[in-house]
Amino acid sequence: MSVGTDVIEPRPAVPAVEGGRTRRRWLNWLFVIPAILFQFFWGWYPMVIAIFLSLTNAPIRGAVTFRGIENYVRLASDPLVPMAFRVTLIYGILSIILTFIIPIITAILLMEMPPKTMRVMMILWFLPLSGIASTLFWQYLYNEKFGIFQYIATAVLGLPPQAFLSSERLVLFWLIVPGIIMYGPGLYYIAGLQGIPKSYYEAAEVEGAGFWRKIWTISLPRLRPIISMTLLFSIIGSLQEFTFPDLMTRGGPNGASRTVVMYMFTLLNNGRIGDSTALAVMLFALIMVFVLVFRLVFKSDPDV
Amino acid sequence: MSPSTRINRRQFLNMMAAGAGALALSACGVKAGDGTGTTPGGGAVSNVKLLTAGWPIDVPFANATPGFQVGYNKAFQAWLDLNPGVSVERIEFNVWDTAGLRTAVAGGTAPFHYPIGVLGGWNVPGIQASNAEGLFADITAAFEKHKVLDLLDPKVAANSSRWKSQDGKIFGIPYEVVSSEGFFYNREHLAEIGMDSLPLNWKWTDMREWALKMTKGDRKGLAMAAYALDWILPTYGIDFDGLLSHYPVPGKGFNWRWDFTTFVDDIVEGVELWRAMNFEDQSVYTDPNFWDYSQNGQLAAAFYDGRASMTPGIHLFFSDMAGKMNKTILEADEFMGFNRQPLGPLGYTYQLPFSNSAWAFNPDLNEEELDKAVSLFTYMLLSDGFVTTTQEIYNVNKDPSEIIRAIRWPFANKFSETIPGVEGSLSAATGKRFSEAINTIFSQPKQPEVGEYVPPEVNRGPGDTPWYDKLTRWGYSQDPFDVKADAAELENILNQQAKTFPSSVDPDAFAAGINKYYADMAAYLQANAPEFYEKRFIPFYDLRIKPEFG
Repeated sequence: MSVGTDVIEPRPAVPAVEGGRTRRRWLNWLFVIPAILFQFFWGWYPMVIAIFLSLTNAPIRGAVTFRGIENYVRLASDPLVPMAFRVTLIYGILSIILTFIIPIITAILLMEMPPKTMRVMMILWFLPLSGIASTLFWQYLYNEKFGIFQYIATAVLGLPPQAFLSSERLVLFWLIVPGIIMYGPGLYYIAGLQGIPKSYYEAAEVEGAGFWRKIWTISLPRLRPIISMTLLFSIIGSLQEFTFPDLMTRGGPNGASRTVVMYMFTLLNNGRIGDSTALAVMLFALIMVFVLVFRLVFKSDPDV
Repeated sequence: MSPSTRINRRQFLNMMAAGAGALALSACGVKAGDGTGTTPGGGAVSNVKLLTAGWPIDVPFANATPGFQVGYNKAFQAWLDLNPGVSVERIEFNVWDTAGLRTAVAGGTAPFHYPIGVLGGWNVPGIQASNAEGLFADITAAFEKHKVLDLLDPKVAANSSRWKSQDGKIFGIPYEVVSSEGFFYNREHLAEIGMDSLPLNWKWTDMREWALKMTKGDRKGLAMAAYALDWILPTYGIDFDGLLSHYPVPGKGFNWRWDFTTFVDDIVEGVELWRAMNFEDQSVYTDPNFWDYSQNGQLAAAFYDGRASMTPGIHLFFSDMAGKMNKTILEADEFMGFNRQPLGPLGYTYQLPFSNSAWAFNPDLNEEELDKAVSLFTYMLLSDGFVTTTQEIYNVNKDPSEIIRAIRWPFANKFSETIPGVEGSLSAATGKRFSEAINTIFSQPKQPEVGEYVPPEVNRGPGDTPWYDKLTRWGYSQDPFDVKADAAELENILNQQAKTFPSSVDPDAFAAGINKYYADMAAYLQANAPEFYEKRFIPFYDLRIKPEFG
């Protein structure tokens, strides 16, 4: 709505025509239906089928037999299931801490650089890299015998040989490190920061605000909608992590990097489709809990 | 292998066995036949369309070996002429992707043929269970009509547990003969330590000694994938489905339980041996992320350029490896040898001398389609089409070794020694030393496989994930760990999982099969691994089998 001195001319009255309303309603549906169909076939239908299959023997061919909660009971007594959930949660928390917060700081620091330097740094940061190629590259970087990290650790820093991905205690940390560099929410933050009017900062400087004060009272609050969105995606994505640990460690050593989705895939490949879908439903429920809690506690509008 | 979020070691082996050829070959055509033909007499003919994912039947085939493509296409056209009304169409589909193939078979969109092992886990119980689940077509009628058995090499025909059910139904056709995993070795490096070739009955302790001796400067005696312990421990009888670590318990739901504690000292010994090679001797080029031991992987690359003296593989890699090194087949025979895996300390090996890579057919095909599918497969790979293709290669090159370069030897058909119209012996063309080694390995006695004796279990039990978890820790972890505690934990995990699975197998039929299996196994071990029989099998039998089965 316009405010201030603008004069709003009243629209000429449009006779309430029944046909016009009907046409508008049809047009509304026309625009909405593709999205509904897409969501139905790619979202709701698979979800409902997964819930249904999780309660059956889920054969590849032949008659489906209802088994009640048998698959869930089996998973509840499988020691690998809580282990996979534990790994997933630790991975998710570490991932959010390292790959979510650091890009915010980096983006803010980038904005403080001279424009030319900032552009160069952005090119370096957001180079479009192939995910698989980067993963293979990181595998070599982490190689215990001839990887460059081992060289730096031993020859440059004089440390004893490091286990990297062979360490059960540290494997999740080392798996997340590449995400700090490769994960790209920084681009969203920079876009958000560039959208903040300079006059806000100038006014703050006139009032005597320093660097940190500007960040705390202007940058971060204005970034809140973007932070809210990326944090939500980050939570969902990290709880569904599969590709990177699967390629890097295949869940090892000793299952220390096997996430829930990786175990789900294992069950699927073992022909245990019912168990696999039951595990998927359990993960879905967990993610929904996180999302609901997030929506309750995180307000995305900076002006609220 | 079989990784367990992924393929495991055995799956990897077999995928490499069959898939390597697929990588080397690429198809360029998309359709052959018009599907609307008439018989020469003008009568109506069938209208059959077969969909192929491109290997080993394609339309047409591309292959680098001069003469192959011409010969293959000539043979293919001859079959089409004999079968008017049939068309074969190429679809883009990866038959090596387990989840994808399973989905396609469930949804009725699978190609007409696909490798049995991809859905069956590459082992006899899994393959038989997949057949019982209806994932493979029953091709018994077509198999008999086209006299496929008569076209097979006798040793392949006799080894039918991966393509024939216990009630005699045929669900697959063998296509290749595959060795178990072994090692390729550099003959020059071996000569440096005063040896001409690796003996058939070598042991892992020999492997350690010789690998260390061949380690020199940057060169390692052995390049090894992350599956090392999955090769070593089974020679102690310890494996996910190992002879001593896996025992039957009929009538308690799922029919198997695990025991990793009775012979835990053997596990400790095997783990110490491997870690000594890797960490103390520094004689192994390995990494916990080295999964690929194919002829295209980093281990083979180290072998090609002399950075490693031995590298794992299966015999089918031989001709591809020759190509990678820009050597002729006979030059490759001079450069490298092949041997099966070492035996365990008591002379036991879990390995089969060879197995058959068989292909299944789409269960949604009708009787006529199955008949044509089996006919085409048989014609092109086991009979006249094979002869036409190989003759053309020979006619172009005048060298039977070029046939070996294009099609891996020995064949599942009867042409491994001679092919009509091709001069010379195929085994000689493969290289005298290599072919002798293969013939020796393939002629070793075959031990009984439990899947040949007990009815297929449709309810899948625990997977091998916990086993591989421990192997990754024992093989490479640099955190402190206790093998004995881990073995107990492994046993508990698997048994806890097993308790929650039902069984689809009749207990009496299971007991009858089990009795026969262990009786045959005892006879095999007495004859072939007597020390292992006395010191390990008898105590195991007395502890685990006798009380339950008498």
